[in-house]
Amino acid sequence: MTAEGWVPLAVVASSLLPGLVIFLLPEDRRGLRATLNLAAAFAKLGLVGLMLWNVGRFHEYEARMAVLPGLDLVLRADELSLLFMTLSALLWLLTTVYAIGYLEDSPHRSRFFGFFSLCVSATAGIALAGNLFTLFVFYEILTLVTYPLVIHRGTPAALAAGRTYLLYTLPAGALLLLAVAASQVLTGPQDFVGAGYLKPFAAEHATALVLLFAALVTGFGVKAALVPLHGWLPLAMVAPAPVSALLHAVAVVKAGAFAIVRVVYEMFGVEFAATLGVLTPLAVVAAVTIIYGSLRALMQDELKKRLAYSTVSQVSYIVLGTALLGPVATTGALVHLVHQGLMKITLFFSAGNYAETLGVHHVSEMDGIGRRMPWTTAAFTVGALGMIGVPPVAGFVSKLYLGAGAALAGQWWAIGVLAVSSLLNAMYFLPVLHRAWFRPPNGPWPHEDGRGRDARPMLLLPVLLTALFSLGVGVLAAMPWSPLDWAYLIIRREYGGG
Amino acid sequence: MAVADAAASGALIAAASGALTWLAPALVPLAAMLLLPALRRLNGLRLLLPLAALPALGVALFATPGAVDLPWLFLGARFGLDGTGRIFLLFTAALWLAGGVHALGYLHDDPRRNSFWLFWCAAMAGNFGLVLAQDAASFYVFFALMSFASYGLVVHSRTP
Repeated sequence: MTAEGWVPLAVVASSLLPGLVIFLLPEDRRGLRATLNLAAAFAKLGLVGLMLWNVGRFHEYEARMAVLPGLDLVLRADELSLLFMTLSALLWLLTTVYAIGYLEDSPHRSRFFGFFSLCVSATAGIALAGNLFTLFVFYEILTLVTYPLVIHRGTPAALAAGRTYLLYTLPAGALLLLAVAASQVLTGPQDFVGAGYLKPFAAEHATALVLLFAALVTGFGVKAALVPLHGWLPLAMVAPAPVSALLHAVAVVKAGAFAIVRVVYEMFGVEFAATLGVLTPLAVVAAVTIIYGSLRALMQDELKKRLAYSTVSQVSYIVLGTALLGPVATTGALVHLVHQGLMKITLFFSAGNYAETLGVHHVSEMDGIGRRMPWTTAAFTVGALGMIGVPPVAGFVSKLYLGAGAALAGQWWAIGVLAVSSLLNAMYFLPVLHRAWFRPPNGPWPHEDGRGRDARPMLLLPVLLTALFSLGVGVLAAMPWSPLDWAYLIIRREYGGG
Repeated sequence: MAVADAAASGALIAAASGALTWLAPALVPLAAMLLLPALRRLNGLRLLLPLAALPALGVALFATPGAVDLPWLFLGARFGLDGTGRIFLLFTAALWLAGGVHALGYLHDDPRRNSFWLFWCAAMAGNFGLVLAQDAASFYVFFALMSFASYGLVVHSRTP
């Protein structure tokens, strides 16, 4: 371990240790629990900021522990890890504030916040994983610590959603274990590197590598909700709103997409993957997922379900960009990893605010909600317009780069997919905005919290900030340190100097 | 030293005012739009809203041709005015000004006039911005602003 290896370790520990303490706290120690949660979130963000600053100046951090001879747990902070790490650290802080406000009077808060912290530790491990084995270990931990959050409410629907979640993710884990073992046998110990490390093995093991790719993408594709492996995600929206935010924007779905990005770029190398012929099938799966998710979103009346299918569709933008060869498409994929998170968390926070403040869960109940909750609805509007790709919100930048990348890669059909998907996005988001702003209310709200105002400050502040970020990363996309700028930095490494 | 400093800050001020020339036509209506909810109860101030079109008119009439680069904005933005743009901006600004004055009278007793003025300011900012934009991304940003804001104006009467 290098002298500075403590930094990535501390990033993982900064939510792991407080999480373990929180489990032991009695329910009524809400002040102490909130302090611990927030202190941990700020500490993690500070450490990530430190790493970001140094990695931006070409300094990397690495911590290495041998588990068995030839099998190391490696935590490493490079440009790609920090793209995901910064997103999840920032959104974890905001989600913690939101969750403290959201769960004010509900039972089992210690259990909730304990698993919540473990979930973020696992995500940090996935972001910082320096080899396939480490990635796999944290990925499986994430599966296990997310389950209690999905079933948190304990209702039959929640328990059923939890069962489905395990039915999808556990077999995926078994498949991944096989793939990890196979790659260990095939290549021996290997760390993730800039342009991949599998190319030298192509001559002897081409078929094995194709199978390995298929196994890895299938295993990680479950969390990334690739069709037909997406079934668990729309059910999991029965979980409380902060968990949905976490699943969709910060941790689980994003972890799947990020793992696929790692496999394509830093294990196979995107150019080698293209010569193996595995990128086109991946692009087709992503395209089918994008269109299918949007079509299903169109049919949902329940707001959170509509958002869940929208996630199915939007996360595959990342996969589509990954599966297209060329620096511009890669930029689109990487930048959407961040942009989608910012926009989708805004939408889920807003949906949570509607449910908590007015008891509104369905799109058909949202008539006139803009006048009743103008701030929340303004944030929701920013998120929804961004998802459609309206400039200058974040989603516009992603779609522009994905579209241009598809054109440069000569994959014109992918532009068609993006266009159809944007049209469908507009069809399932614009009517919601129309109801919210331009229609008179239907009558009394289903379940008012009796304060006659917009959502509580603890619920409103996070959503306003994420809406502001969604707008900011689009308006200031060309600024140094913007997600787009950071994506360029990664590209220079993957495509060598370009 | 002091002279050099003064010259440098002079250049900075010139650059800043140059930037403002090309941005004010869009920024003034945008600022008016953002202030609108806060000023809702001050009915007299609404009379001043059509004046938000004046910076555009002023720029179209008096500004010397030029442009400003804002590399940090959007995907690297450029705003300015050439001959065609000037004529276009002149007519556009005059129309918005006239339309605004007419709307003051037309909507005098309209219960939804605040919503009208919000979208009116946004659509106007979009329209001026797209005329002044010299790069594709900025043009599209303001074009989208105008399109979406105009929807609010079109459905203003809320008739089926």
